[in-house]
Amino acid sequence: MNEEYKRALRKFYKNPSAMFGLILLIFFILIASFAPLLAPPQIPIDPEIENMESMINQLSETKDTSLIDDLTSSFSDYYDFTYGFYLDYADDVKKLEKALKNYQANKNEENLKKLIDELTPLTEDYVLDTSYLENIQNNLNDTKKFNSALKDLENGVKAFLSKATNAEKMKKELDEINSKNSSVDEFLPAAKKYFKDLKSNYIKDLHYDPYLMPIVTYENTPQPPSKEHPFGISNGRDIYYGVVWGTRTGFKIGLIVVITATIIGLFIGSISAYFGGWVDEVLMRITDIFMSIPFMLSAMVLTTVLGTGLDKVMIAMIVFGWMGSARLIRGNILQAKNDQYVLAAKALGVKDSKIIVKHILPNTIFPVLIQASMRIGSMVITAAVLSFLGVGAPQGYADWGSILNYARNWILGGTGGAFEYWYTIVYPGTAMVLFVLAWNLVGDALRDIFDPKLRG
Amino acid sequence: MKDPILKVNNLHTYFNTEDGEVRAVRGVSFEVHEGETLAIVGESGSGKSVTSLSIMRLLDENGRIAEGEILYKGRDISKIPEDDMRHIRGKEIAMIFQEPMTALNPVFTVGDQIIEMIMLHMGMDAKAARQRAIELLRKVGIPEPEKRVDQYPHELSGGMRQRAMIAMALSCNPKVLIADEPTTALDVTIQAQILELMKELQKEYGMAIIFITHDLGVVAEMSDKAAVMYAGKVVEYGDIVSIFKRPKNPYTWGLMQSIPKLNEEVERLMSIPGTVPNPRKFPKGCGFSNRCFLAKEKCKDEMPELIEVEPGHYSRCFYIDELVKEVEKSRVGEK
Amino acid sequence: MSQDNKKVLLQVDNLKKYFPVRAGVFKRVVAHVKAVDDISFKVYEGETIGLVGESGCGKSTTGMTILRLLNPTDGRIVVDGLDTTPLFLPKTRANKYIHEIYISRFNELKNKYKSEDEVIKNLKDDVDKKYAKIYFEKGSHGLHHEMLSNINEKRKWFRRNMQIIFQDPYSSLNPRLRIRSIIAEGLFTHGLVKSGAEATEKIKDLLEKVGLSSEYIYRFPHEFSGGQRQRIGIARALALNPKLIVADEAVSALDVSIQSQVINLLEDLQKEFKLTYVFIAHDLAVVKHISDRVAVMYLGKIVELADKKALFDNPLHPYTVALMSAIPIPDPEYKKKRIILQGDVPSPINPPSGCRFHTRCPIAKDICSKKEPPLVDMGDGHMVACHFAGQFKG
Repeated sequence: MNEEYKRALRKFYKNPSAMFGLILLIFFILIASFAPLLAPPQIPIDPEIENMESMINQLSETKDTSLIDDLTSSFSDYYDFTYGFYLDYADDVKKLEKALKNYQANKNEENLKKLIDELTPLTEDYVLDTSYLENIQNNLNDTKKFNSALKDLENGVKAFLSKATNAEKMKKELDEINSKNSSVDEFLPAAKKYFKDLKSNYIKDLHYDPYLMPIVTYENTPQPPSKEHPFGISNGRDIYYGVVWGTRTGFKIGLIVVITATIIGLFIGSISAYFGGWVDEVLMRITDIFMSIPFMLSAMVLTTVLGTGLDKVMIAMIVFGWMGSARLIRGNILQAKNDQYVLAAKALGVKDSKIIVKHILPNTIFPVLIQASMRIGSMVITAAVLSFLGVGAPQGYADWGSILNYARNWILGGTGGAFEYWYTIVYPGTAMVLFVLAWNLVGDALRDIFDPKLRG
Repeated sequence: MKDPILKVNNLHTYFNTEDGEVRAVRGVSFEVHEGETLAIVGESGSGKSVTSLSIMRLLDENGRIAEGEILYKGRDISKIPEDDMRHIRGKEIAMIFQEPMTALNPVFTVGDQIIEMIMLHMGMDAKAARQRAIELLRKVGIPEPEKRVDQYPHELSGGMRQRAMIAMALSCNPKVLIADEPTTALDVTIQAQILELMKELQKEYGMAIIFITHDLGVVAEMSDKAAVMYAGKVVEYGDIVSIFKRPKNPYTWGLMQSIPKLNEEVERLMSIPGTVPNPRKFPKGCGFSNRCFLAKEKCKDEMPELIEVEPGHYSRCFYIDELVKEVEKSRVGEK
Repeated sequence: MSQDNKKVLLQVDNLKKYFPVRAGVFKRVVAHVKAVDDISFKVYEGETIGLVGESGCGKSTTGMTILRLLNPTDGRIVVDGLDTTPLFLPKTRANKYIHEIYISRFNELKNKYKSEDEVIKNLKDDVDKKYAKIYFEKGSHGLHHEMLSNINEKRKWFRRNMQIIFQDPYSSLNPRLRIRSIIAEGLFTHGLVKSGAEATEKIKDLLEKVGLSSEYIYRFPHEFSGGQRQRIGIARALALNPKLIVADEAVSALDVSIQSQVINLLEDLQKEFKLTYVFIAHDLAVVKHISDRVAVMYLGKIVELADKKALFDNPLHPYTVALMSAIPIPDPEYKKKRIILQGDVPSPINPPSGCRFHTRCPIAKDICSKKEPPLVDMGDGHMVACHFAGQFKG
């Protein structure tokens, strides 16, 4: 293999377009892996917390004791506002938990009544969501729904209690701070620790998603590139951020969709070719049916049914994207079945299963893999089209198609001329074109190298 | 003697590939007169097909005629512009191929393709051209030509397709017909039909035929002269009887000894050891030196010249005398 | 040479192979390509039998069917006295086959002769005799058991003894495997070697035997020339130490100067390993050189079968005569009269009635289109299927 391998590599090096594709691809991989550095996510911070942070900084610089009081009061206020609530009701919820356990251990009317009695006041005070109670009371006759309502409640209780535990920990820390407010040197480390915990709790509760493009302005018209926003702003969102993080989205869509679809296709295609007869007939007719459905239309219908979201888009693309590889592998296997080396193996008495693994698959799978690598790029385009049509990624998701979608209203330009808002299209568009190009060039080169017909 | 209709002089054809320059044809010369058949004999990689494609100027993009001249009626056609060549190709020099299916366009009827050629080169109108096409199909022995003229290539059998191909090649009365292994893909009984047909047509039209083949039987049957090619060079050239009866090149002789013959019985075939050389790496000296039973050190380093051993019979070998002795010995042995 | 005291290694009886032609949406069978239509012949141990004919005559299909790379539509294939036909058939078809070919026939004969011994005495064929004895001794169950028990061992035995060499040296070797793996596959499948080291030794030996350097063992097929690949293919077949090798156009794709190397190699190996060859080719000269006996096929039928000398010196079938005269002789001074057959080979989907050659035959009469001539022995085992055998000399 060594000699052949070297030859293949040399062929690759000597092919300028393949090298260009490879460099582009590496470039995109680098962008995707260093996205958090290139475009740091901007977490929206509560002004209260910002205020606290600046006070701590000031304190550590100036050692001004008057700040200690300000900080402790800020901390207390924040504590009351964020955590106090959990501690206040912790006992009640614990009682509820006990009632729930009792009921689950012994499901009778009495225990249920006790459970509802415990739950009712909590929902009335808006400590727990009213839906818990409603779901239980409305589904008394439907065991399945009733059980899932109980499960929901159990989870809700658990979540509440864990927050209460956390609140207790925070209270301890706060008490410690309050006890140390006499000297700056003692106060400062405790305060810093408390603040750190507080901030991390805050970020955790925020469920911040870095794939969401931050809104940088509420101005609706696009803003041209500037120092802070090098690619400009579209729909109030930073295009640069979207393009950088969109690279990750691109890889995610391309790889997941193509790998899954190819595996499905390989499976169906090889079963079809191996068993032949009516199995083949049925599977191929199913493939035909899938192929005869217009892809865009069906993908749109499916995403509408499943709901929007990137995962739904990917599911739709997998469901309508496996047929190509199924057909290709089937055709290849049928052809290879009659190759003389397969007949020779048969004449040697080699088992069918071994013939497939050793002789047929290695000679048929490469074209499928190469075709798959070329499809990765086009998958990104398909996803972009779906996004452009508004059935793809959710609002604000860092996805090239979505950014282009924002540009829809500005394509024709504005008062300043036809190309006034060029940046809303050019940057995400270029990224997409280069991405597709990179995969195609690499796929082309791979095909040239691995096609045995072209081998010397 | 009349001037030859086609004369190839020191032809070199090279190809640019990723592995560097491949010198497929390295100095080939021959001439052919009107009404005469020249066979170019050789195995795969000998350069025989490249020679024919060079004459037709139908080389792939990466190939070029690096040196030498191709004189058609005294005019060098190796360097004339493509536009001028288009007038010669088909009209003056026509070609038929091994696999007619690849040479005939599958989406047009056989008639359409012949008619197009006639109208292009002979300036006939469509009706007259159609008449001539039917006439030609009749001439090449296709039954019911009025019907066949409107059929597509895939509706014809292999032999019929080759006949149609010949009809197309003959449509403009070419002076030279190049036939590149025209019967290799056919069965022997069909091959016999096609060979017979070509002989008859040659008698009638008086064109020169360059017959490219690896089959010595076909060579003996069809041609007046032969050029035996090996490793991109002509190793023996002369009239057919002297080559077959008095071979002066160890390769030619070895080749003739290694094929089983229907009219002779031998206990064991003589065989040439080694493999046919790859055009990417021809030996340095004589191309045959690594397989030749006469080869000495000199053969490995130097390329022998093509020398005239008897009038009109040329051979490229340093040790022709030794070979002649060997041939004599084996002849005696046979008897 | 008398054929009576030679051992029959392979016996083919009334072999038929039809390929269905399917058309339409539901892939209905609309016709059959009658590639091989009722042929019978015997192959003796140690001989080379040549099968010649033009494309579409069914010679390759015959080879593939004998080796059971295709299942026969009908007929019997006996190897070394063992009926191998049911070994590769699906179970129900195998049972049906045994019933049709043996049991019902033996029962009929028994009714006719009234005695089991008489039946056995009157059966001409040794194989029939053998199975009749078993049937009368052990009954129908015993016969089934005899033929189908230990089926996997029997299949392996068949595969080990019957090997093939293909025409195309390029597609007959898996391009992704090294030479060692290609040749070792059979050795391991049949447990002929115990360890990898032993296999390597054996493969190196085989490579030397077929005229290749044992250093090539770890190379890939694409590093070899056509002739060398063909040698590798021969080594692969030879590895199992088979009794019979079907050479399917084994030298047709090779260069002229390489052909004779491979022919000589095949002859040497035959002597060394006592091989039997079924040599399939379209080149009459090659077949004449290598074979002891030759069968000429036309449109799925054997039209003439004889010793080489008898066939080439005195061909009796007009097709054989025409075929021989059509071959160009590499001698410019050799003059001969050539018979040019008119027209093409008819389609095997709808072969001509009567004698299949009558549409092109120079001496065809009325009877030829009506009655099919049987393959009859004209003396000394020279078999020919023609109403006017020997009357056409060209």
